[in-house]
Amino acid sequence: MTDATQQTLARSAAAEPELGDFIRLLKPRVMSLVIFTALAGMAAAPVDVHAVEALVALICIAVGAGAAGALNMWWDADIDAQMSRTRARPVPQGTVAPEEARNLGLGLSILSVMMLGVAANWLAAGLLAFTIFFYAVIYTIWLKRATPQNIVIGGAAGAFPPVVAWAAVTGEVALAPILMFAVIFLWTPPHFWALALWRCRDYRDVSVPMLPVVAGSTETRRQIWLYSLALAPVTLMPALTSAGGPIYSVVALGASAIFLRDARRVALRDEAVADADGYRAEKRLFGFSIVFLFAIFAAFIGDAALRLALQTAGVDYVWPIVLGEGVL
Amino acid sequence: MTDITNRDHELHSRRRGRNLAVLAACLALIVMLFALTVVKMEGTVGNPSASQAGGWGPEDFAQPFTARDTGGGVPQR
Repeated sequence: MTDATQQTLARSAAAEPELGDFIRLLKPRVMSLVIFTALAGMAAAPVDVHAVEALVALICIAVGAGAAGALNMWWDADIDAQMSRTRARPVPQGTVAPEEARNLGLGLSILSVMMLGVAANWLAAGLLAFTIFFYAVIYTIWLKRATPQNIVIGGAAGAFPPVVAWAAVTGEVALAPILMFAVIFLWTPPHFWALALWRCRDYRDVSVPMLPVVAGSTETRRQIWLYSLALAPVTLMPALTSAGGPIYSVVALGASAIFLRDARRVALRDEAVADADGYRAEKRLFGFSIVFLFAIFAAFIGDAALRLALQTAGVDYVWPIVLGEGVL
Repeated sequence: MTDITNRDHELHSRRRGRNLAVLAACLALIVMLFALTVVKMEGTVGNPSASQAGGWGPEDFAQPFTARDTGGGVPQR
């Protein structure tokens, strides 16, 4: 065998993607969060739905989210290669060709939307299609590199899964899923800006206009505090709808108090103090924000399980619904 | 030479893994569609009133297409 042949084989072996590379393209961690919030949206909906239909709808939503992730990795391969957090992704690493990532993303997008339309309804399918379009085109291609409000806008894409799930099982959109949307939408900026504060250099190097890069650390800390202030009352509001209950009320109250405390701590610091202790408060806020979202949506599921258990036991259970379930 | 054989083997095992994953995905899709069809058909097969309420049923196909489409009249332009 010639040297040239050996080199060709070595190159092709390196460029031959494994199954795991394709799975990583779908951003499994983001997918798991999407599955969880969508499950909460489904569980909180006041309807009985067949388990198979619910499972298929959930899979479609998860695959749609994965497809959007693959499209994001295709488009952002150039900046991913320069940032330490994203350098090991399959496209910048060279294990998956950009065109393969794009084709996988487009293929799964079409498949998931069509399947959701068939399995559930076309309102849910339309919402899923819009979510994928919003994340891949509006956020990734258009606004991510154009405005420091990129995270605020991108947060909307991540906030859609419970709305899609609710629509999939009820065929309509009501106040409760809109409040779920609002919780994730307002949670996203403090969550990501806490991360961006200590990853600021990465974003500056690749010219992504994240808020700390464009407006500085002080303004970012102020914005984190303002969004956290807005998040707290919105988090409490679903407790007053049919999706709420005693578990949600307690969890929302406790989690919001801790979130506000951590956000206030970040807002009161300056860059010198943060740098001196290795961004401890910022990392704490980032870490707790993940726990916060998990707890909030787990509480929706908890209350749904409680309602079901009491209903099965024949106990008359009435939760005061202050905010009516107006169908939109 | 051994290196090349190993690389060749590695290449084939990666491809095999991918092909098996595609097979598994296709089978999962088929099972999913079948289960969904069974669930959707429950309560409509052999129950004309359910199909009337939910849309098309087997009896809809018993009449000519134009009649069904125009409410029994002659197709209008």
